[in-house]
Amino acid sequence: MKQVKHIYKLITLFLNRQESPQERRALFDWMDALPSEQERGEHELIEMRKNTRKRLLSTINKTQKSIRISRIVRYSSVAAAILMIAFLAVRYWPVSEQEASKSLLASIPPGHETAIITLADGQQINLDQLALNQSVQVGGTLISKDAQGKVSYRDVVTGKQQVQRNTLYTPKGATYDLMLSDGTLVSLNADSKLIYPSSFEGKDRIVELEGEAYFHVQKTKNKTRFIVKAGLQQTEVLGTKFNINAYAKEQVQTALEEGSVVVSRKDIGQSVHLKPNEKAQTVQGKLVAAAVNMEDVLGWKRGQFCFDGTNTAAVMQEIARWYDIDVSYQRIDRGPQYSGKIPRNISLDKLIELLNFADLKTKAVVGSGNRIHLIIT
Amino acid sequence: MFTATTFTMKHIDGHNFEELLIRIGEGDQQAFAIIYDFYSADLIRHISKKISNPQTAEDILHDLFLSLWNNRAKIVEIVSLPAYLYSSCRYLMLAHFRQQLKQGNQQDIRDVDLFDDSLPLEDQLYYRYMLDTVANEVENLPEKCREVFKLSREEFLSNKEIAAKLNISESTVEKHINKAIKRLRAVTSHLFHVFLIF
Repeated sequence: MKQVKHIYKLITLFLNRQESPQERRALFDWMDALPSEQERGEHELIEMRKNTRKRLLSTINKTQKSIRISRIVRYSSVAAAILMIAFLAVRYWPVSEQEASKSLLASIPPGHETAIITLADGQQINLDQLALNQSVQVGGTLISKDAQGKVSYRDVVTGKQQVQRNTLYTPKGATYDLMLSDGTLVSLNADSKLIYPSSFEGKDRIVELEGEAYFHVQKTKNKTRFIVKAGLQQTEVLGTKFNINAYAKEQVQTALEEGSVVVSRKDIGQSVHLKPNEKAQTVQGKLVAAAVNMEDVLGWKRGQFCFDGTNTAAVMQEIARWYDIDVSYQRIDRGPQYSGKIPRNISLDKLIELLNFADLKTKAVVGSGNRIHLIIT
Repeated sequence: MFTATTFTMKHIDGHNFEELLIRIGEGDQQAFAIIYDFYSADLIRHISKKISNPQTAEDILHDLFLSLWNNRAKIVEIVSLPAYLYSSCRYLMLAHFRQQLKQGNQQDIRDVDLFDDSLPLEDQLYYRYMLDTVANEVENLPEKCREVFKLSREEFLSNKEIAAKLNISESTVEKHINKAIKRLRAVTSHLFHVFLIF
């Protein structure tokens, strides 16, 4: 009964004034093709008109109020006129907050891989523009992209080595993988920033993170520590795999996959030692370790939004970052939240369908600056 | 099939058409009944062609004219009353078909696209009429102009892409789009008091 579902959908779009011109044409074609009913006799038609006329006039008289309605009508027609402008405008010239059309939503792609490196001297390199198997040397630094598209960053030994402080950032809707000079692999999630030195110089390896990243730290020969500063937390490792979510600077979460790390908050003098499948976060002013499902934590790396029944609001933020849209989430009922996985590599209209299936009612409007705004309850 | 072109209707039953509309706008039920008597014949025939159930057909006719009465303040702004009536008629018939489909196929139809019924019916019908009017005007644009305009507003191509696709200059593309906007503005200026800024 696919046809039924399709027509039902087309009609619903039409009634909501959200159909695309192509969909409208398809709907009218379907309607025209409907078989005609047997012609009614003149007598019957006259009866029907008479019945309806009586009903109409009776309904009108019932609701007719005796007050002078002219003033009320004038105000409402101005308001209505403004609404009408908005309606037409969005169909052809999006202007004010109005429902987003299906075709508009289908044209919003999910995030992709891209990142920008800002070198210490302020130069910016868009990693998208670096071809596969290509390297670019900037100052004393060699930036290369291998055949798989992974960017690595190595020192160019040219006598005196100058250490630069570089920044790699991913915009909304982008992720990127980067290899540091010691072979450590960093996967950055959308809307994140990593500040790192061009070379670690055989001492403590210190990087700074804003946003979210997954680290696979390599052990060095002289066993130097690898330290990630994220918000108020600091994570110290020798060699191991972990994920740090620092989108909210005051609520940084470090989750350990393999190995062992020490997470500390120097500002309150607390530290905690993590074992695999544990995460460190600040709860009521105390730095604590708690069990965590690494599969959910690393969902973003696998291309999934992972709802675990308690984190709907946080996932909504992820969606906003991934599609570079605005999302408002208002939980209405106090019942159990959604638990499940939704793929990330789909266009926005499909995502909205899946969210609605998950009982997360989603409405899309075009807000200011032509940005898509999802309202989810 | 109806077109949105206005044919000047001077008199109905000895009454001046424009005058009737003004009287309806002021709440004159007699004038309203005259308009009903004039249009209901064709409309009930049109509805009955696709709707088998006589009660449903009557309901649609009833809701159609009731919405017209509820919109009577705007009635003088409606450029073509027949266009409004047929646009509303189509809306109501499709709403009915949707109900039918829903009843027969509860399992298959999961209401993915939720129908927003927060607006009163007469508003839904009025906005639908406006949208239909503009959509119709787009179809009535001269051929090249329409082609360019659709590529821009329906396929979301940039002016540059359109120029490349149709093998014309970018300035020609702009000229076509401006022409289209001008014509659409002319149509919609009948509908609003305020001049639309596109």
